[in-house]
Amino acid sequence: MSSKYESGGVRRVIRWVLAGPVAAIIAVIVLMGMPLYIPAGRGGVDNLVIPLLLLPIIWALLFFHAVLDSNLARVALIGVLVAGVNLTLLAARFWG
Amino acid sequence: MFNLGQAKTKILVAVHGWSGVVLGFLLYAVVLTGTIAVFAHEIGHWSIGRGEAPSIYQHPIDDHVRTAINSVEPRFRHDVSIFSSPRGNLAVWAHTHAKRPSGQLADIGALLELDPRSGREIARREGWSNEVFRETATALERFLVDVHVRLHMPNPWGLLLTGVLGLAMMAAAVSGLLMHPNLIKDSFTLRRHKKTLVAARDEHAVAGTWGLPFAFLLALTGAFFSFALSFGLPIVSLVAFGGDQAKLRDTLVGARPAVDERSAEVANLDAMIRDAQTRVGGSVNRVSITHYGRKNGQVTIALDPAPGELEPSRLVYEAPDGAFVMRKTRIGTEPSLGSTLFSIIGPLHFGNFGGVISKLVWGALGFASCFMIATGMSLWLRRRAGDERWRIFACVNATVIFGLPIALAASAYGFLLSYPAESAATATPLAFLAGAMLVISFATYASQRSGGQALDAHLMWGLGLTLIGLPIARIASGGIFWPEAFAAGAHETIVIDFALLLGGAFCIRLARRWGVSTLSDTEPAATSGKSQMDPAE
Repeated sequence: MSSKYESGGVRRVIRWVLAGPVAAIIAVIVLMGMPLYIPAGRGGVDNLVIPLLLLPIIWALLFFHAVLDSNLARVALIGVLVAGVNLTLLAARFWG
Repeated sequence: MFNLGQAKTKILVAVHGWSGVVLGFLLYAVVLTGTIAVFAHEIGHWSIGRGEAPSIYQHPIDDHVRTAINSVEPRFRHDVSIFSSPRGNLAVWAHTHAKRPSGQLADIGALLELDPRSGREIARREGWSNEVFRETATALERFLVDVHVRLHMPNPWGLLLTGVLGLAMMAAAVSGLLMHPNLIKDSFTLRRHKKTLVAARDEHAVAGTWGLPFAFLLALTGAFFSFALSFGLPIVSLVAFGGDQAKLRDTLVGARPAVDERSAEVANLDAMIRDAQTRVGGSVNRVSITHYGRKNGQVTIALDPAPGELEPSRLVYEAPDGAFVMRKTRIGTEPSLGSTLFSIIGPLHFGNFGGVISKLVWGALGFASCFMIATGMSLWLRRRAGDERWRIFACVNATVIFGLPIALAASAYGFLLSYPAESAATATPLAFLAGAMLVISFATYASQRSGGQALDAHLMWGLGLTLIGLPIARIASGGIFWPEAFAAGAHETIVIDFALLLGGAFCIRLARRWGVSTLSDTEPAATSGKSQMDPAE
């Protein structure tokens, strides 16, 4: 019973870390990456305004996914993938 | 509406409840001040006893502006801004850019206030822009907006905090939506005749459900402003332009006109203003002249949204001959999805897209949101009424929910009693602090003396009296009385006075219903309908 409680407690901590600081960090990484793949538009500013408007929505998606998905490994994997893709694009932009 | 299963619903209830409990007080502060800030302009007029002045642009301004500019030092005549002063007069800000002793770039110049009809100079201030624009007449208006935008904290921390609160509001809204399996039915269920906990749950659910789209919209647009201003815009600009400041500037505001320092008189401003109003149909808000008196000078006329439209307009003219150049977007060089979204975010957040009607709707929804937060906290506490650990939190809850409006009203007293002295700019926030300390002291005393019984009713009494006293304080401190206000067209003054009187009377009526017949009653009546410590169902 002790290990089950610790396991449940550990899972809960991991879940709230994923939903809390990790979701926030990934949302900011996505914000940084979006100007690279959202078209600038005729006025040249769509890729500045749209990412800022989408930031709360992206955070909410990441947060609620972390909170509601029973599979923590899947939550972590999706987070790593999303962050990884955006970080790769950023690295190519600045150091490529 | 959504049936996610018991386990997931339990998690959502926890998210909804704890996000409310942990951040609820700050969120309440932002939502309440935001609701009041919808009417900040009208409150500003009320506080100085004036109504919405006729547009300064309905009189010819060209001669007045030229005379004013010719009267300031030549070094200040680089750029000129023309707008309505807080007292409804013609304001002319002739300025240039310079480095402060600290090395920071800022605007410095002369701000003149003129009678819009005669052009007679009423006031003049010279100096750096942050000194010149510390206008005491708008001290109360600016304080209310500042508390809402950044909780009166220094940048960027205040903006970051309000941004986080926007996310919390979104989390509460989404979790509230997802955890109700019968959302449509719940939005029409109000069992007032049932026991207190059920009624409280219904009140919260109804207020929350009907306000859901509004809560989502405000959370999205509010978080946009907070994060964009604090760190978002610099970050996306850095990525998009790789640190190229010139390219960033040219993209956001358009390329600078070619440098041409030859002298050239500015064409007639009144003609350009009339042309702008004909092209677009909205009322003129501001006129800006860059490179005044030079061949490369430009005049930008900013207009409010035309009737039936959301987006404001900016029209650019060549200064030397008054030729129309283009209709400029708020951001960017051409109309696009991004520039349109940027233009409408403000009106959607502030509720000023449809004049008084939209403001009243936004104000009502804002108060409903405050009610939703308050009932949510109340519901949380009622379910833990027997738990001694939450008793202190219950007292804090009452202090914040009822005490914050009292402290905000105190800031108005501070302004009214100090205006028009220069000290009004500092008296306003100090009065807020004094009001807050008074409320906290009373709540501490009451909770120690009687365990917090009837604290909410006593604070409601205090709020009622504070609101009723405001019109009296305004008039007693030299403000205009109603017949004079009506004659001067200061209708907002009368409307706000009556709203305060009615609101105060309503608060007192509620306090009496909660069982405290007079301010000196220490305990609620035994058969009171509402008490902080009702047993949970």
